Amino acid sequence: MSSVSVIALLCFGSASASEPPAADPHAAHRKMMSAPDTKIEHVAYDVPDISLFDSSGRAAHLRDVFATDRPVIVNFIFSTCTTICPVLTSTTLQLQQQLTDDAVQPNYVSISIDPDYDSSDVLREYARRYGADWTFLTGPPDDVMNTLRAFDAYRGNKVNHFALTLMRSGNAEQWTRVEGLTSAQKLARIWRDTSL
Amino acid sequence: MPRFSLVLVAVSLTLGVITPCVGEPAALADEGRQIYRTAIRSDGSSLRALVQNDVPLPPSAAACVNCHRRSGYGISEGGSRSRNLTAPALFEPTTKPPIRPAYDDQTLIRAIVAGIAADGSELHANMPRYELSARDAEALTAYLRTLGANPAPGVSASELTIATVIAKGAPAAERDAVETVLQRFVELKNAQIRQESERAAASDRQYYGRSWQRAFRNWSLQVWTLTGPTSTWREQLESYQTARRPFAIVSGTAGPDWSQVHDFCEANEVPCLLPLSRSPKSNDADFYSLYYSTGALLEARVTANHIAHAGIPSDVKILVVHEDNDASRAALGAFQDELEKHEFRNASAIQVSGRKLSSRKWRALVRSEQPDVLVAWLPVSSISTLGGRSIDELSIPQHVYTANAFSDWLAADVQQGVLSKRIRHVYPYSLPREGLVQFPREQVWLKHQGLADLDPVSASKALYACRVLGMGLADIQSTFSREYLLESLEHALDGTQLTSVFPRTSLGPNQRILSRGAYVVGLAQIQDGVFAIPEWIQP
Repeated sequence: MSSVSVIALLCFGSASASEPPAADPHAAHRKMMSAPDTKIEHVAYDVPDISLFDSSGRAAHLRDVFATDRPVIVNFIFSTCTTICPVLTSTTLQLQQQLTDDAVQPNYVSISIDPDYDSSDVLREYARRYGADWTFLTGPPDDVMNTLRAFDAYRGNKVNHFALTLMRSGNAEQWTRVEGLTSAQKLARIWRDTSL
Repeated sequence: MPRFSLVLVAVSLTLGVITPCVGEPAALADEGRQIYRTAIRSDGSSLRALVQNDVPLPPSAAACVNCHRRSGYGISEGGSRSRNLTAPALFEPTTKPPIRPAYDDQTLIRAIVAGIAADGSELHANMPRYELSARDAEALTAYLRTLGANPAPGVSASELTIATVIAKGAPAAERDAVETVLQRFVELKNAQIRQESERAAASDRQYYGRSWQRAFRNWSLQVWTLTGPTSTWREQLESYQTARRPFAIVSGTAGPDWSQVHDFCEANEVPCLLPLSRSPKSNDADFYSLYYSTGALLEARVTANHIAHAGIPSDVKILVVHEDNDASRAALGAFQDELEKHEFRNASAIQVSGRKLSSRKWRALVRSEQPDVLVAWLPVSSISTLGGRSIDELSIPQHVYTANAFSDWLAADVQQGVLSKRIRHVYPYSLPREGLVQFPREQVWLKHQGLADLDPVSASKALYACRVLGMGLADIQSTFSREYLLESLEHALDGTQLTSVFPRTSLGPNQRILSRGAYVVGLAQIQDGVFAIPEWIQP
């Protein structure tokens, strides 16, 4: 390919070809794998009567953390995840920046899905690495798994974990459930919609 | 879509700074490897990257290795699928959908900087867009041309070589178990493989049959025996490797000091799967060695944790009595660190010689030290005398802890009495129960093979290690990459309880320790059938 055409491509982008798909025996599977990036639903959750621990090792009673009048944004991560969790955490940081001047500030909470590895100390280090100043929760494995189940975040092994952000404005009956990764800008828009 | 300074790259391309090269110098590939694994250049500066259009990533998150992995084969996790970047895949056209032409030096950089694939389509928003200097681009390209380019050692067209490491000074029961179980397992495996190869060849479902056919190998087991002082082991290992390189090292025992083997595996990039070693140089930070647990270090931390939550004041006097060896000293360090976290600072230690501690010596020790909490990391024979007649029952400390790494109570004949009532024993395995086999998944195989006389813990661990290798190979099939094997196991060994040796196991990306907790059991409970589940602690 000549240098000139490379520059042209770089500067002006390129149209992706849209041709009718050739006979592809794996079409259904690939369609499933390339499902739309974000799915948004509104769901009611019962916050379970469980106490986890924050990154300082202090007990965190979930019904206090998610008290009805508290606006919250929650996601689920684990510290050795290298694929989507860094993106999720970085996006949350960016989101936090975008919402800085809003009248209502959400309380950000990240819950570990790997209580075996993620002790309070480990989560504290994870938070420090990203410069994240919000609440990180872990606890005994059974308590954590029951918490995940309550929020329909439990998928068995860590390998099945997925990007999930739950948002609830103060005194709202329902949570906004966002599945999939997306930009901080889009998340900010979704959040502001929930606060209306 | 944000774009970095494409002008810089475009100009470089025009001026021919980036040219397709044949045989890039090794130093450039080394630089590229560092960028791939850390997103940090050799001058210490880090690459800038944006993901999902507007999210900046720190270097630890931006490094290619996170999603494309050390092997380069990629991963499918969290709904995010990252592609195979190994040289044979990247620099050839694909033959299965999504069809795309081969990358070349220019289109490769275009993909990383502008997110445009070789076929001109846009890469997914999960793939970051990077700011690359011309030098970065050259180095990265040089590295990617080497990634996965060479076949893995220890694999021929018909054979897979594995090794196990057995040190002559390791406990006889462990050496026996490892050697016997590995040899029998490999014998059975090879008998099955012949059968399965014939079946696959005859299979109607040709695609399925062919992929298994391609993957089947006969296993060849090398037993690497280590003799003499540990300072000579590295040389012995290197010399075994020179004679015949294995694809992986499986199980093995070196007694309390596995660190020479650990270092060998890291330096030579050999997977080292689940040795029996009781106090390994184990951590999650190294790549190639996978461990059952941190052994004595874990038990020390569990002990400290239990003390800290036992409802006793933090200024109590804690005394650790231990033998003169590295494992004990390392455990002591872990113990004190964990206590410190809970603000228990009144802990001291006494080192005793290996000979059995008599009742008289215990009496003198307890009288002079007067500990509130006694942690006895000694053989059972030494601890038993603490309950001897010459010691006033009231003088035995209220809280006595022992640890399985140092005291094998199961093998001992424990008398009833105040001692067994006082002792809290830290026990890392699934609990023995009256009338039941302790490790059903493993012991059913051992019994069936006529190997029930082998030490159950050692034999079960050796067997599980073999099964883990088998599972890993079934996953990777013909992709014989040592790194890919480990990455596959990171997922495969998580959550699902595949071994009965430990009550709880888990693993994940960049994790290398399978079990992270232990029971704290009243000693009497280990002898009788257990009805109440004792406390399980994961510090």
